[in-house]
Amino acid sequence: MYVVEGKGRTFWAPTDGSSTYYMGQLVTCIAASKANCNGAVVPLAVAAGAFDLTNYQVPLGVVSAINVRTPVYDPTTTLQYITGSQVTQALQLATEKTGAEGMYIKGDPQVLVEITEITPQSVIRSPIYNATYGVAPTVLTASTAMTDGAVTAITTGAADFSAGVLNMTTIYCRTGVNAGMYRVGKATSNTGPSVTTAFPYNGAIGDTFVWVPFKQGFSTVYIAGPGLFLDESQLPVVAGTARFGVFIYKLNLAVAGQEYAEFRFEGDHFCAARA
Amino acid sequence: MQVIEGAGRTYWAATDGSSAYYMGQIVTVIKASAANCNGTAVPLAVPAGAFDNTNMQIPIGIVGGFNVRYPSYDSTTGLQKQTGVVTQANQLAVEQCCNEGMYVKGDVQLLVQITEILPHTVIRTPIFNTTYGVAPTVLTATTAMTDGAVTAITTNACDFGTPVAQMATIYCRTGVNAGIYRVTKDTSATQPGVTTAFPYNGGIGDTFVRVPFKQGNSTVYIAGPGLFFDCSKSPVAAGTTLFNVICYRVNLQFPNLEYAEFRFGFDHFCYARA
Repeated sequence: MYVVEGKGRTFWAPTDGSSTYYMGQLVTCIAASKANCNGAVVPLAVAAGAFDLTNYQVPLGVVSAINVRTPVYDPTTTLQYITGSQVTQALQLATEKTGAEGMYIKGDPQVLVEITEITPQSVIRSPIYNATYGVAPTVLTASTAMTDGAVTAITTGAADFSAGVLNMTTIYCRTGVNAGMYRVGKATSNTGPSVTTAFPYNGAIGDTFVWVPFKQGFSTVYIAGPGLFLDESQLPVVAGTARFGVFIYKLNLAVAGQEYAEFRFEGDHFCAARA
Repeated sequence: MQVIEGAGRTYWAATDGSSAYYMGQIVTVIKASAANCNGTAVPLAVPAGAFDNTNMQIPIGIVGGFNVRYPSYDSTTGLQKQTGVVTQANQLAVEQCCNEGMYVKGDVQLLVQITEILPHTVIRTPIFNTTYGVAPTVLTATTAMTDGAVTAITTNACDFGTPVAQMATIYCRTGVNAGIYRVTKDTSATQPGVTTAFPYNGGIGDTFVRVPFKQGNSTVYIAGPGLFFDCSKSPVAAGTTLFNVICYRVNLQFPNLEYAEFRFGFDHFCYARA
């Protein structure tokens, strides 16, 4: 992930001494289960409770640098990362550090990360994957033709999420007469997409689609990784249970493996004392 | 309405396929009753519950454009207007153009361009009496002031039925105090009184305008839907069925050109609030 508009400060912060930190990872200042953390920031855990009301994680920023002289790459995500298990003297001194600025003195060997701050108006671009980092959303192929622009459901292969929710999903036509068009889904099945606002043309058998469990505007999303991507294998939830509330400006489902969303966190997530 | 300071993004969004959308209308992402909507943005419904806690509508922006080649105007408001459609035939019957952003050129669903509202965004809104285009009633004094209206004077009835102390504004439009605003302390529609006195004792025949909000923290009724402050609704300290706003400025100088500049209280940007 990265901040595309409206970032706050850029600053360096200590880690918790145990988590793994990745470049482009969302971090928070409140650990899962509302505990405080050793250090300043921890990776954003998956949401718990409606709008994360169990954990109350306040999204603080995106990791944009790590204070190590020799970067290490994770072969799964291809992201630079560091394991924060550096609480003892020996472990801190074993890795050569460099580059930190701000509050922490040059030469401090604890693991520090540079944070690009998220404020309520910050817009973040996030990749969209299917359960696992790097796995693109499944392409759905129509096995029935449209008769009224899919107001009457068509049949496709199964979407990655187990059930649709009225007006909380987006279906994108990747190939066929409606190619390039997005519509909000009304279906509650994951194999029979349908819409209220029709596709303008009647698509045919063999047309392909991508179907994700969120939409432009208010959405509830599952952020996994931790803090690395929107997981479109998790079904949408109106009341937000175990989801974050976000406002999505834009979805782009045009290219396989490069699907992304641009969003900001909804205001609640910046309030630690909310109900 | 229009954003005058602190706009967020400008982007294109889908409509719900049934509502009427106007240029200058506030739209939300949460339909009344907190249900989701087909599409992205729906007109801001009137509030329900204290500070709209029943509907929990999040104001996301103001309509600044439509993707139609030939604009159509609403004769009542004088505003450009489009009504959402859902069927293939109705979508294809209107020639669309000009949209940008997420939606592909040539998509024939009704799209609106949104000028985004964020918590710090300042909005200018007209002030009308119940109906779009109807100016607040001008009040004429039938008694003279004796102490700058700390002791109430008498006028004809203002548009809202029940004033609340320190939650309404009176503006002197003509007379020795012309141009001066004061916050009112009375609870009568015909007996305005103030705590901070008008500097001069106005006479019989002086004219005033009175509205149920003030500079600073106010509760307001936005009607239209999403088109104007309705000055016929009484202020409510606890905010029941009203939105919470911070008013930067109220301008009551000219009839039919009355306006307010405000931003929404931060609660309105929180979906999971109590």
